[in-house]
Amino acid sequence: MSADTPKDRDLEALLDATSALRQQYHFASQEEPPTGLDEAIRAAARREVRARPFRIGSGFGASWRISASIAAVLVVSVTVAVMVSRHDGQSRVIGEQPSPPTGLPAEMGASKDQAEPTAARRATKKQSEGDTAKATPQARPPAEVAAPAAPVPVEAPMDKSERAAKIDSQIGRTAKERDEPLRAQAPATTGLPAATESPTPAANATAAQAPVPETPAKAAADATVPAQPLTKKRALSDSAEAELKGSPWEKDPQAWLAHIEELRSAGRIQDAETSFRAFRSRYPDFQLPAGFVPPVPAVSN
Amino acid sequence: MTSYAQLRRGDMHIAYTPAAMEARPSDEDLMLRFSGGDAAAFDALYARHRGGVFRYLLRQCRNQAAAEELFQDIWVSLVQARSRYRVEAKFTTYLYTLAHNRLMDHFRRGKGLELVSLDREGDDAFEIPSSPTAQPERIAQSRQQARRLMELVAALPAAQREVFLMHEEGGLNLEQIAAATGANREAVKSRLRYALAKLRDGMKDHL
Repeated sequence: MSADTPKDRDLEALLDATSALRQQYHFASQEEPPTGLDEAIRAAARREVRARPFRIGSGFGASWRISASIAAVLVVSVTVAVMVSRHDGQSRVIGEQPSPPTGLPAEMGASKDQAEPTAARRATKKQSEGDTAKATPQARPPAEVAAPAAPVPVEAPMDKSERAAKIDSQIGRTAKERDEPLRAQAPATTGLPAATESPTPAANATAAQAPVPETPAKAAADATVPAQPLTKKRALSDSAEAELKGSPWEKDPQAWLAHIEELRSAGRIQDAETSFRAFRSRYPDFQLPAGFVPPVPAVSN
Repeated sequence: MTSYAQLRRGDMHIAYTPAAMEARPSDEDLMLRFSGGDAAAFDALYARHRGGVFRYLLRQCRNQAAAEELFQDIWVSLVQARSRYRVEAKFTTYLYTLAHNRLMDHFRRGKGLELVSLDREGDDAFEIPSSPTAQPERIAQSRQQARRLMELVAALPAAQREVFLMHEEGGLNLEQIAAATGANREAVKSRLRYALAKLRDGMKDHL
């Protein structure tokens, strides 16, 4: 043993002085563990090595385990995230029915009802553009890019009119007959213009001044505005609506005219005039009998 | 200076040949190889230190059966702890720290020191290697000196004896003994000096 510091020189000297003594000790100290004990310990070491060939925490075994653990955690995390996002997306579609971005497939957020018109419109548009322009598959129509959140059913009124025309052809009704009751009821129910093609020029002029929604979205927004008198004919018929309500001759113009004649003969000229206005608003095209004298000049016709 | 422990383990004859030093792996290398799954490395390591550890335990607890039990516990603990082994100190420091702690546990359990009769195995207990041409009187004198020396070692205070045994059997220096026993270096040095002085004084008439 060497002296590490100057203070250990005395110890070094002592060790040198006792070297013979220490040598004698080592020659005298010869005990060894029993052979059986040696074998037992060596066998324990071999068992341990067989049980765990690689040291945990280092080497190939540890790196393999760590890498596999990290990969497993990542896979599970991504899977759970994807499942949660899909679940949220389905809940939102079911609960709120949001407008999907135009051009996205139905399974990416758009409901089936909304996706079908989009596909139909795209097919129609492609068909119309197919003859004139060669659009690349990646190119998206500018309208779709500009208004990605616009409501899709733009073609819905056309589909409805086509469907109505088909029904009319089945029951033998003309388009004018079909539009008459709709024109009378529309202001009271929706507030929208009664008809854009009114039979009178005045009505058409008034209707042209009325705010016509340009898009279905704007129309839907305007649906909350209360009904406003849009035509002169419509304003005159307002007072007649009250008289008309509950009258037994609503569906019989002949009986209605008889009722007006009775009012006039009874001296109720004002009532006769109000009832006749209601009659005209209900039956604007009805041909008056030859002997019937209108109490007031006809508003229309 | 090469200790007698190194001489016994066969370290001395290769200490001056660099090529031999490269060929002979260190204790730490052997332990790392064993941690990596090399059982043969453990065999080599065990062969180097089995005697020193066993004699340290035998001289300290003075009971053959207890020494064997502690000896097995120490090596099995080392085998099982191979995965946690880090080269932070010399392997002998690590090994004798294990031995010291096991011995302290043994003493705490109430199995205190037992005096071992150095005569129980007759003169064979101190069979000293001698040349075939040695004189019978010389052999008898050597045996008597060995018996006396062992009596003196056994008579040392436990702390001094522990330091002496770690120094001679394990080949540990002062710092390593201090690390293994938890004592400071100066205390270890003082204990070693006292132990050597007592042995020298006790053997004054026999050397």
